[in-house]
Amino acid sequence: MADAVINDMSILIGGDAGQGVESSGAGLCQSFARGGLQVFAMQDYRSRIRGGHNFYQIRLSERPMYSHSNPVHLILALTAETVPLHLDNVAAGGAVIFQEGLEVDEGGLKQRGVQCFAMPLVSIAEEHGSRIMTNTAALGAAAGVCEWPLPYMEGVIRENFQAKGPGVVESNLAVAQAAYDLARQHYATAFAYKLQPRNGPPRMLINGNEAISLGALAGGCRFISAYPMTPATSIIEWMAALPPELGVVTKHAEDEIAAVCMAIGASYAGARAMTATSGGGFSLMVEALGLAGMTEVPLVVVEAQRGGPSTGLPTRTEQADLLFVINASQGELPRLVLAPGTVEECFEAGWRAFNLAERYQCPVIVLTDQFLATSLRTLEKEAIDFSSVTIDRGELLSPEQLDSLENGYRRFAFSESGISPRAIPGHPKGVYAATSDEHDEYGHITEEIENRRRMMDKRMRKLGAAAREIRPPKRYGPDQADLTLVCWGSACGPSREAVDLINSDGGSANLIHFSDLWPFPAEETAGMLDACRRTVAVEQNYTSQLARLIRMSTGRSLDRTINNYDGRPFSPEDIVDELG
Amino acid sequence: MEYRELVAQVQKTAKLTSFEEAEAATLAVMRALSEVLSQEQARRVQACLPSELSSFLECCRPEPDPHIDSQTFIGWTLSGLDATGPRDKTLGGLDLFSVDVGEEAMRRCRCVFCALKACLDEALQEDFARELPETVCDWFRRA
Amino acid sequence: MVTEVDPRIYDTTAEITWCAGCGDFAILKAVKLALADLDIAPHEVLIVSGIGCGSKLPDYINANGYMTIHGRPLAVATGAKLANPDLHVLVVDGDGDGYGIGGNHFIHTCRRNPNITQIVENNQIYGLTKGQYSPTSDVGFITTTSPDGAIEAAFNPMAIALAAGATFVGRSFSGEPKHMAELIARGITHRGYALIDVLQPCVTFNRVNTYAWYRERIYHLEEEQGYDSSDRMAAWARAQEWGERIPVGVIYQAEGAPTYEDQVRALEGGSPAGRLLELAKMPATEQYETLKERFI
Repeated sequence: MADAVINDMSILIGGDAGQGVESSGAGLCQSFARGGLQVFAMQDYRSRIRGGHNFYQIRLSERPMYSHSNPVHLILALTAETVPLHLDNVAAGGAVIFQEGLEVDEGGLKQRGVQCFAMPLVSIAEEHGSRIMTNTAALGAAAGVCEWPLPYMEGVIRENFQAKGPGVVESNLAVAQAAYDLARQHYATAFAYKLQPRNGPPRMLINGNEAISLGALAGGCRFISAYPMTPATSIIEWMAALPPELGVVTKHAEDEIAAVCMAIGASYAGARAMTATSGGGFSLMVEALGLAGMTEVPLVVVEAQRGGPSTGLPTRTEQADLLFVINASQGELPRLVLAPGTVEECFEAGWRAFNLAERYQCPVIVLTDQFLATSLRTLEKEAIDFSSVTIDRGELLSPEQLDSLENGYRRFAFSESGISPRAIPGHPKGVYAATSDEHDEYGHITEEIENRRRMMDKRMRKLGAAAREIRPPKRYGPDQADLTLVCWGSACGPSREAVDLINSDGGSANLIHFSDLWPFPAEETAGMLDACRRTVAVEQNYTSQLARLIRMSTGRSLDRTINNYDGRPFSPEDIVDELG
Repeated sequence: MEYRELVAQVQKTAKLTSFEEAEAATLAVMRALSEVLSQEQARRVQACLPSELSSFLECCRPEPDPHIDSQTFIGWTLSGLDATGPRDKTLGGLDLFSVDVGEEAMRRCRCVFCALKACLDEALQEDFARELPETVCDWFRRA
Repeated sequence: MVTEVDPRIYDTTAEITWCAGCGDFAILKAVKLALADLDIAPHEVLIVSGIGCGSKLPDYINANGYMTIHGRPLAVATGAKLANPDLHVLVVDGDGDGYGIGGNHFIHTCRRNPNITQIVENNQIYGLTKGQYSPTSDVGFITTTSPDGAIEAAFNPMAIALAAGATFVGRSFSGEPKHMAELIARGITHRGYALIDVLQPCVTFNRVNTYAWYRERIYHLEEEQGYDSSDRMAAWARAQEWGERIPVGVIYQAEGAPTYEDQVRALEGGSPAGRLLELAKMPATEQYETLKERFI
């Protein structure tokens, strides 16, 4: 056998929609995380309930990872179709575990140096439990060939099947054991990739949506109204599953327009309120965005992008709503756009968005995507630092301040910063009406010329104040490099790994990554770009939206763009290949 | 006064081109009055009016709605006046002359009041005025 | 706590842009009377409107107001109510806003039963945009967008509200401000969603449904011997009445049904707005540490 490769591999579970690929993959990830390994897991699934291929790709290492990686080393093929679909993505020395008798192109695999590990998965399942436990058998077999201690999987099996009763749990455990033993016995010695547990404090396994939810909760959000839309649905579901004592009111509204309007109403009445959706839902919310901006009501909208246009690729990823979100709604109104790129940044954006929304009394959009929303990463518990969370409500008038108000309350009072002191309805001296029409300082409708000019100035001036809190892009890698990748949001994960690959291969690369996008940090960006030799935008969209935004804001053109709009996230290897 | 005489008087005071217009204005004011006059007051007034008009006050209630204001009162008259113009090609819909028509409605109402006043003695006029909504009572007193 | 409220406290000096004779004047008055009658002070109420002539009402009253976007006041109001259930929340909008573009929210609000009162200024026409037909326009009604007469059957808000599960369905006529004020007060007092459809003439654009037209047709359910407004089937029958006879008053009231807010467990220990005031003083983030275990 070749030298063992320890704790550095990728496993892919492939099967049909409706075959339990997601829960199998998630369970496997959990067992690896509990055994002290670092995990990055990406899901590839379809917009249908049953049928058609989907897969779960798990990357394992002892160091933190920010992306999936190709090729994979072990495939669990739950269907015959899995093999040809991923044939070109298996490393030499890798292997495929599959149900014996399944029509698999063993010749093609062997040609690529990939081993065929046929296993009687169905009969093991049926003997010790039932056919439905075939996945468990496959997972047991995977653990066996990698010689990953079964107890880590057993814990996960117990939890996952607890609700179905001890009989089901015991059967699954027996199936896993049998498959594990058989696979280890027959195939372990032929398979170089091994997984060994490592000691250390327990890590969380968490995705972008969960991190945002945690951040929002810690930031005082106690109201979320939303309409289910992939890939944002899990945000409201996570919030709805919280203990009621925490007091988070969740409302699955009749449509996205109701969802965003409820959030606006809740915020108007003094709550920190949010909604979460994807591009299509955001499209419906666009008019209401203007309402929030015009009436200076704080609002947080999470927009988790997916493949468009229209219904597009509902379960796949894209970063093609950037310019849409920055410009959305008729007329011109102040808004902030955050685009966290990692799970940690998602947590921070979760609470930071509310501080920004209340300070600047405007909409704040947190722009993510399916890749970031759903990919799982291991994270140290300390990386989610609740003590770092602050709740800053900006210029909120206290009851004492309201008590001492004279001459009527002006909700939209002109000020140097553009921000007006804000009263929450309920105080006798803080009575006012807000309107989506143009209005005066008191909130009365008026079309008067001078007032209109001043009111537009006031609202837009807030962006100037907010710009001071917008972070410039960050550099990753050496200060100087021959090649600079430029990206935003979740593309930073694969991009930084690509930079590492290039540098470790003798090349010279670094990365400029944006996680705050509007108001655009033009000055800092121009300075950073001017110091670069060659720049390449990594665009998960067709029209190179980041490059266009940079050009529009700074006048700087990037040297090149690489575009991916096939609905699949960039892998580090894809980026390196494209660069040529 | 006779009915036709009363309406002709309205037409003359209001300088309307047709008897029908004056009649419409008169009946609209009667309907509005039927909403605000008490039954007791209505009986006293009915005795002084031609039967074609007094019939409108049959439905007066012992306690009329005390919150009917001048806007609702004049609305009865306005319903019968055409306040729209040709198509508004800028904003859509029909152009409107509600400002002028609003003024016109009040004017016609005052003219009707003038004619009605002539049928009532001074004491009755004052009792009558007191039952009219704010502002409307002024129209009546000054008519 | 204010114990006696004079309706004049709701008056403002705002220049009102409604046409003379508009039924909205009476509706505005009725709202003030109702609120004062219930001793609700301006700071204790929030009036949410949409877009339309009547939706300018919050601009003409001294109370918390939010003039939102076309068709959406119910959603905004629902969010506000959930964030601060102590506020009295009213929605005021027109028939186009409430039954047309706002139709979806209307149906679901009836099901949802939040403790909100909606007053629909139903003039069977689009006034602000100058004379197009509306969901409640009768068949054959001729306007610039229905030059051959409206084709669709008129929207029946009473029936739809009943079918969707509303617990208070009422109708009034703007020519009867006293009746309106009483009905609005009853709606506000009702625990749950109250719909008050107010028939009101648009003296400028609707030459058919005038004061006289309504007066000739409306009759008061209060004066109907033996009408039981808690009888849903009886209410359904009355809700079909239109044309020659139009019932006003309380068509249906179901008392004792829990409001939406009553059933939201997360509201039991405080409101989102109230909790935030506490959290802002003391973020108390240690309480979230245990949540991390869910990810391990």
